[in-house]
Amino acid sequence: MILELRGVCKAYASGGRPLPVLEDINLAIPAGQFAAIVGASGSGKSTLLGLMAGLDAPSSGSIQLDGEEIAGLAEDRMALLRGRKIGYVFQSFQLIPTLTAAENVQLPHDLAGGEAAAGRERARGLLAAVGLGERGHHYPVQLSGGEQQRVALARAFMARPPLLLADEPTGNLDSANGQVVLELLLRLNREEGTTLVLVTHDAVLAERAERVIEMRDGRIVADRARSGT
Amino acid sequence: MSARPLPLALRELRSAPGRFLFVALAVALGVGALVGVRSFSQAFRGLLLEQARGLMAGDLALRAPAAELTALTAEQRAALAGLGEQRVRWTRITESVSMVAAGAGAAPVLATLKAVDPSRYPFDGAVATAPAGALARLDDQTVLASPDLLLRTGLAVGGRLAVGAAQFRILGVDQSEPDRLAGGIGLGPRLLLTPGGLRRTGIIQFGSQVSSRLVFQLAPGSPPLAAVEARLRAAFPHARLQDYRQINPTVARGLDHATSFLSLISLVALMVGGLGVASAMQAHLALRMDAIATLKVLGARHRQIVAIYGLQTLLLGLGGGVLGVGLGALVERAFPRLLAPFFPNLPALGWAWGPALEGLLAGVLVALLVTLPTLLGLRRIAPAAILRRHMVAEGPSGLMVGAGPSAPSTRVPLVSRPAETARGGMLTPTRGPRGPQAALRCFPASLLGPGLSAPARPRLDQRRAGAGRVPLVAAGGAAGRKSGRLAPVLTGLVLLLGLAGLAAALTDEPWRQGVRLGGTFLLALGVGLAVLWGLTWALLRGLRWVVGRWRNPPTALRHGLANLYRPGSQAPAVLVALGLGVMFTLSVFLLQRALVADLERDTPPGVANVFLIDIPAAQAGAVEALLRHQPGREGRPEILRTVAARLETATPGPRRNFSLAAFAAPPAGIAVVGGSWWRAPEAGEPQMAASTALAARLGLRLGQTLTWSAGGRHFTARLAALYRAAPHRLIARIGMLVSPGPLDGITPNVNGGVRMAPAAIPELERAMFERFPTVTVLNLADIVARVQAVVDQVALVVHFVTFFAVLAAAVILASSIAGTRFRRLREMAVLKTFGATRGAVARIFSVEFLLLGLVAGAAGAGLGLGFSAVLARGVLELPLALSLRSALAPSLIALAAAAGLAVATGWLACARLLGSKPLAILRGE
Repeated sequence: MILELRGVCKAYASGGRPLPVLEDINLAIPAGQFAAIVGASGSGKSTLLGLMAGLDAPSSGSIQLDGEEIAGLAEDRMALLRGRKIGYVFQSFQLIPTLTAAENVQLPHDLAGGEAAAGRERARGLLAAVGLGERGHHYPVQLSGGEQQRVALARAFMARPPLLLADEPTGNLDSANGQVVLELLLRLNREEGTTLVLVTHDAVLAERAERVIEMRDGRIVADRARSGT
Repeated sequence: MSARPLPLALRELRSAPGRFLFVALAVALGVGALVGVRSFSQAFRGLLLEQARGLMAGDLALRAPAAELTALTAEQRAALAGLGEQRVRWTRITESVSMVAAGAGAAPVLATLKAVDPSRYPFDGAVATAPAGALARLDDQTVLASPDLLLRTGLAVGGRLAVGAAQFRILGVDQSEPDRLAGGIGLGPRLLLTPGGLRRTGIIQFGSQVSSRLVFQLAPGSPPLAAVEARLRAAFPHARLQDYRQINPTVARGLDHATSFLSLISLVALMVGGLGVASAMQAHLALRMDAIATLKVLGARHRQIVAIYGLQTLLLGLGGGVLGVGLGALVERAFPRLLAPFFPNLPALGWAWGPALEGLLAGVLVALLVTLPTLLGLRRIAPAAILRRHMVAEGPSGLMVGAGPSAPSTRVPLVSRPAETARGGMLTPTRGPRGPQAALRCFPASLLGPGLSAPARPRLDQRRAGAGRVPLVAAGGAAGRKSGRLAPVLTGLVLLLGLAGLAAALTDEPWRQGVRLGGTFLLALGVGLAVLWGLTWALLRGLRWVVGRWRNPPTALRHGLANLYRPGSQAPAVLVALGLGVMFTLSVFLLQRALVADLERDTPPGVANVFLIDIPAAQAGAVEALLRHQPGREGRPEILRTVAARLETATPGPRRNFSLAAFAAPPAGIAVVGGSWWRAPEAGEPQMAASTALAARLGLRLGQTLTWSAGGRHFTARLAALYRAAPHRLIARIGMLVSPGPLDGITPNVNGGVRMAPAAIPELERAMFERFPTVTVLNLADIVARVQAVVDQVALVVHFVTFFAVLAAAVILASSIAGTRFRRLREMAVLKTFGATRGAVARIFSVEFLLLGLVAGAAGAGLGLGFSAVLARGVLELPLALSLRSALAPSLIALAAAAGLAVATGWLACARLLGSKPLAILRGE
């Protein structure tokens, strides 16, 4: 299992009282799987994805990434682990506005202390793979939304992570652009051999997943594998 | 959509009281600084002027021939009575000289008699007597005698003294009078008596040497000094009027400089306070862009939006202003206690409406001025931008609401979540236009710190991004483009004019001086901005070039450097703000140092307070030896040899006699203010230096050759230098100095001076009287002490206000740097998501903060040196040149302080963010 969650709960303080967002989540994602987490708004999907990425710590429970417990990991160790093993795609792209497209893609490599020339080379290749080979010197503001999300995809694959987490990657795009981004995501996923977990509202997108996990009110209410994907 | 903007503005304020309170507090900081500095300035100015009043014993003195003041005309009586009805009090002081003696057969002594009305004199200051309070008991039969008179006559308190035709009982010792500087007659032994006592002496007759003056005191509620002067000038056309500020050259200059300096501080406080208000309001408006765009979608017209947010700005400005005034009031209440040991006579600061209202008005005006350009520019934000938030494939990526290379602009992204919107995280920087147009657009924002600039079309973006990207900004065709270009320029001009008006109003100087000071300040501000903008531009370009050619730099350094020049970076605005802050605070520091040094040169700690006049040349050595061994001596005796010479060159007025003294190097107590001092005696051409006052009176010009006769010989000398002499130095008694040579061999007149402990002066007088009875001893200890006290207070005030202004500037600049935290918050989260440790994030931002501080410090220090040199020479007329050596240490300190401030405040604002969980930040929870 690349990812295993056991009894994971997450609550936020609201008005002085704990507000449960996730309750007793048990989940195992095998390596190479493409899983989609679906559910209504506020069901806890994105919070669950954030916990999987170690962007926040669960209130209780265990999360193991590639056999390593990450639930209580110190923040810096988690950051280093994330840099090596997790790629993340945001709904709202989250490109660093002060970096060019190529530099944004190169960022995980830079942060890991990788050799600059090699990083540039891989970033160039990834940008070409997402159809933005000529746009590497452009800043995010000079790119359309679809282009920005393609850059974000390239960035997520930069460190060759074994696990890719995507939070509504097409949620802010129109259908045509959403389709382009989805195809790119799946293609890169195949080419790079990563495990893919994505959160989506999009039924069409969920249809493409091998496994669909449905959430409601912070709980997993359905977990079904799809055949023929 | 409500037609009334107030409810909407209030509703929004109510929605997030914490954030609005933060904005109001930031405004309050700016207003508080302005109010605090101005209140202190006014209190200190009052304190200094009070000290100066003591030197005249009142507010105004009117001098005229004694006969005129003795027999007043009906018109003059009416004028005095009219002034009396307007709460202007007056008293007459008459001085004369007479021989006085202990009794028949005793050696007479020449003394100055001063007749005063003990019930009125002095209006300001106090007469020190022994026993205390003796002045109040003075009557027509008694006198108060100075210690040297008692010494010379051998009398004591209670003894009888013959003055003219009358006998008086010595009631006590006249130790000091506040207005001895104002006295018209000699400075020898003195007697204080009543007008009736003076009449009894019978010495006041036609042709007597009598000096008379009327001293006036303006009580609260009386007309202004200028109006009283005008009334008196009309009634006494031949009289000479002198107000308390003109009583002594050192005091007058000190007061002039101090008041100009305090005015300057007010302007700096306005600039620094304005920076605080501006950065707070700009940051606030940046966070409101999404709401503004939504309102547009819901049908709000442009003027409604301007009204809503203009009102909101007004309310925040007012709220912050009121808080700031409260802050200022708190400081005013707290500080007198802290300052009591240094300013024992500091008047209670109390509640001053003037500075409070000025501060409030300035806060509101600056808030409106800096937000208006952005609000007016919102016209060109297309409502479609909101509708297309979720459909961005064919459109551009953002809604441009601001641009400019030196002002961080903001962009409303087309995608966001409600939580992000509420937190403001959706605002990301964008790229703006370049070149002069960009400079004009960003000018208002650059002027006042980080935040928004006027909207601009993303011209560059379109060009670079290619055909697939269409701007959402509704440019509105050619006319719209034209007005779009003009609007920022016009609003920029409005902003500058507004600031100019505020500056002019805050100088507290007569309008001519105020315009001069305000003009210099604005010129410096404009030049400073232009130079800082240019430096910033060049630096960012340079950095980009360097980083582009650096093969494999450390990640932290590369990102830290890159953060400074990336589009949308707030670095340019912070650089300009911080640079301006450094420029003004360094200027203030250098000027206060120049000012204090100038004052101290006039009254250095060891300046002579006892003068010895007419020492026979043959006895000069013996006098000097006596002085050297005299107990209570506090300074090195000064002996000055002069030669009487006659100026033969035609000058205005009759031929004149002068005292000349020869010096190879500039003597202590003078400052060369024109031409240059001779390096070494040049054979064949003696050179001279003249005091500026004498040169002006005689119409002398540098380079002019003057012919003299002295000791039976003639010589000519070229006027090579002009100097200003410290008025209390012996050297000030000589009009001209000459290079060594021409006066050699001529028997000189000798005068001396020495600094004595006041208590030891009677002993010196006694010793001199016994061994050198022909030498006149002038005891000016109380005068020198009084002048020195004023000068010391001026210096202390200047030091203190400078410290306060620098502190206020540091706090406000810190808050403007802290204002960049919103951008950093999101960046930190993204960096962490992709594997950055806290250490890596810290290194990246530390490099950025450090560079920001160093660059701003260097640019600000350079500009500060120039600005202070211009102000020192041009406005304060300080002769002191700001040498590179003397300015180097403060400049380096300013550089280090700016870097330290940038790093410290950057981390103070961001340290907490470093530990935040990325998910919480990214989701806006």
